[in-house]
Amino acid sequence: MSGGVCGFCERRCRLEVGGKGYCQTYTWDGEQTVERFSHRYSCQFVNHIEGVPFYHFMPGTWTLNLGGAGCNFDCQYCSNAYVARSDPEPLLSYHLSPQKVVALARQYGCKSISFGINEPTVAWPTLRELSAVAEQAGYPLGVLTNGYMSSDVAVEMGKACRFVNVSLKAITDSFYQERAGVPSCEVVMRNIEILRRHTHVEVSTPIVQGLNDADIPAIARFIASVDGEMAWHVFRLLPEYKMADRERPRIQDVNAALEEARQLLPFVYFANFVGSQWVSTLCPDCHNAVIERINLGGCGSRPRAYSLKNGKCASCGRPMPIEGDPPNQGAGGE
Amino acid sequence: MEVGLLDVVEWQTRVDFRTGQPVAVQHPRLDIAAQVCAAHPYPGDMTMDGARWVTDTALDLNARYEPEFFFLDYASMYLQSLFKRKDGSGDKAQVAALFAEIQRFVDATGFEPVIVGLGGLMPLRGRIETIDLDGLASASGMNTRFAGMFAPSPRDLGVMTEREGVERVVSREDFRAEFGGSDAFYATSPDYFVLAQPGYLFRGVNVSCRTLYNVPEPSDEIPLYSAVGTCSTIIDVPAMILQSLTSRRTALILVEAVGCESFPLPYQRLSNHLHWYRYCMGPGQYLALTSGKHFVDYPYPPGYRLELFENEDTPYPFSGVFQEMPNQTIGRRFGGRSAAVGNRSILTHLAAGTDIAIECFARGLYSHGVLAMVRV
Repeated sequence: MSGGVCGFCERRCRLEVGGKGYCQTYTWDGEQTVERFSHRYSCQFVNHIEGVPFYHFMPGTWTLNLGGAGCNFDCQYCSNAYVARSDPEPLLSYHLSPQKVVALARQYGCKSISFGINEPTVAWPTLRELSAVAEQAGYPLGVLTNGYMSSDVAVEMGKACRFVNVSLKAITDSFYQERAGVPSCEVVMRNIEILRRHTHVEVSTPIVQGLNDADIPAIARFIASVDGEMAWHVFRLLPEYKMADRERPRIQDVNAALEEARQLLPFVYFANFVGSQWVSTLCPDCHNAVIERINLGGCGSRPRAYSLKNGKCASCGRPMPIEGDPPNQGAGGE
Repeated sequence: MEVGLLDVVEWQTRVDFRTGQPVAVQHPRLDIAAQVCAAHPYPGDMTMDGARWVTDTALDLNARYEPEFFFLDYASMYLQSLFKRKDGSGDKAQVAALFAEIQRFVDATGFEPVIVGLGGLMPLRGRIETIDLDGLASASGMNTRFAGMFAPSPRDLGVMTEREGVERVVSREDFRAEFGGSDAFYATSPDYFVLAQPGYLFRGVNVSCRTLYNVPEPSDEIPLYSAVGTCSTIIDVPAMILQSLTSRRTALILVEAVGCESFPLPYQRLSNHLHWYRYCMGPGQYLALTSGKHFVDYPYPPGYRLELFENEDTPYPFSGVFQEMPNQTIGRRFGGRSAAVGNRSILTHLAAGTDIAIECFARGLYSHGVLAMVRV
């Protein structure tokens, strides 16, 4: 065959032998779609898992956070366009086998491995293989994704990843068409449902005032319909890339819109501005701060104190949708 | 106590600077800082408007607080030059624009300026791999001329010693024998310090993948403009400033990415090294210039493991790896009113130690807002 259709994401790019699709990371080898940059990464950081962010999975632990290059979206406000929308070849300068990634996680005292700088769907065969090796070694793999993978990959991702954060950017097709360059939000909503059937899922939404803040109530209703106790990370987006001149969202306006959502979802977080007071996990029943966090700028945060025991609120005993109790020790590898 | 005032445009929070917890403290200095921060949103690291922001903010703070000692730092040229390919022709214009901002501050306030150029830049020559080592290597951040090796194998030591771009590999014991310093410095230091040759940086875990074009050029000497006295080394500067403050309002002004070759004013040459360790723009140099202490007197060795300094109970969460405020800085020692403005995040409030210190809150080139540290 002279070419074929890539099935990793719903763009379904037509690939020629030696050619490449929208994300630039796959090609056609004559029989199937293959990665152009297998097991290659652009960076790796030791991060608090809350900084990635995951608030409800292995709190208080460190994760080895990997980055690649390339993306199947073209978000006009992208904060990581220097890796997402650039030529992957010079960026992917680290060739790391799955065994080496696991060894690094162990050396640096991490309890998990995550892929959180660019879209994991554009390196899925690599991450699928990494997951198998890491899981066997006791290191769960997690990813941050835009959720635009094919349904087959969504099922695979749900089975291979122990924690997934899906960015649901809006709940209108027009936003996805005009701001992300894909036709519809339906794929993302479908994949959130698929992923949640298989694994731990948290959802993120970057708010661009005037563009998607009106979607807050509908997004909250959708998340509640999938899992009423799912963590929802709302970000005050600081537009970059093609929208760098746009004004920043007003915190009070966005938070007022979130107040209604909090009636429906008990775990709504609001971050990406230093000093946010909405990054701690509160028990919905007794309002005890089960996990107290501090935002130091960025989408995530740093944990400060815990009141969680065996997955329950230490004050009233309510079960919390949080996988894993925090460790008593900080970082420290071998 | 120190109160942190966080301004992210149209929204401010006050926190206990040591714990990061919100506080409801009221104080006239906090009101001044709140007004100044609200009036001057930071334009971002990747524009020379950052230099104008420093001067505008400083003029406003000066008018409202009337300090006797002012600390200023201008980092715009450094931050831009790292990430932009430059042919050199723009540098003179940038230096001129930067010093015009300094002159604007001096003309409007009448402060006696003491200006230090922190050293020039040079093209990036290459990267030194650390990820293939058997042991753990630490080279955090954007600009990693030092790496630390923890529990290296014999192979690691051989490989690093021979690797292109490595200037020297020094054991902790040998380093201590040569440099001395505090026990705290060595408590968290790596087993081996690895120094890159000029123009080389390390790569590996915790190193940014943003493309760099230029890096600090290690310099034995840096330029000092001063009409209030003379100094021979960078650790002499605080005593000279404190002496000057006994008779006149004095401003210490640090300018990044300007070395002796491009410094536009008459200058003295300041020794910028301790043994073979040459200071580059960073916490060691800032603190040497403002506290009179060399880097080995602080508990933050080059090549430290970042994650050892960022745990749940780490104090001063807005101060990077620093877990206490340096207490020998000019701002801490001077008995009169003091203020600072700068666009080097974290280093401004650490090095100034002034009653009020205002800086941009930027991390990894992402601009989040403005931070004021206020002593109340």
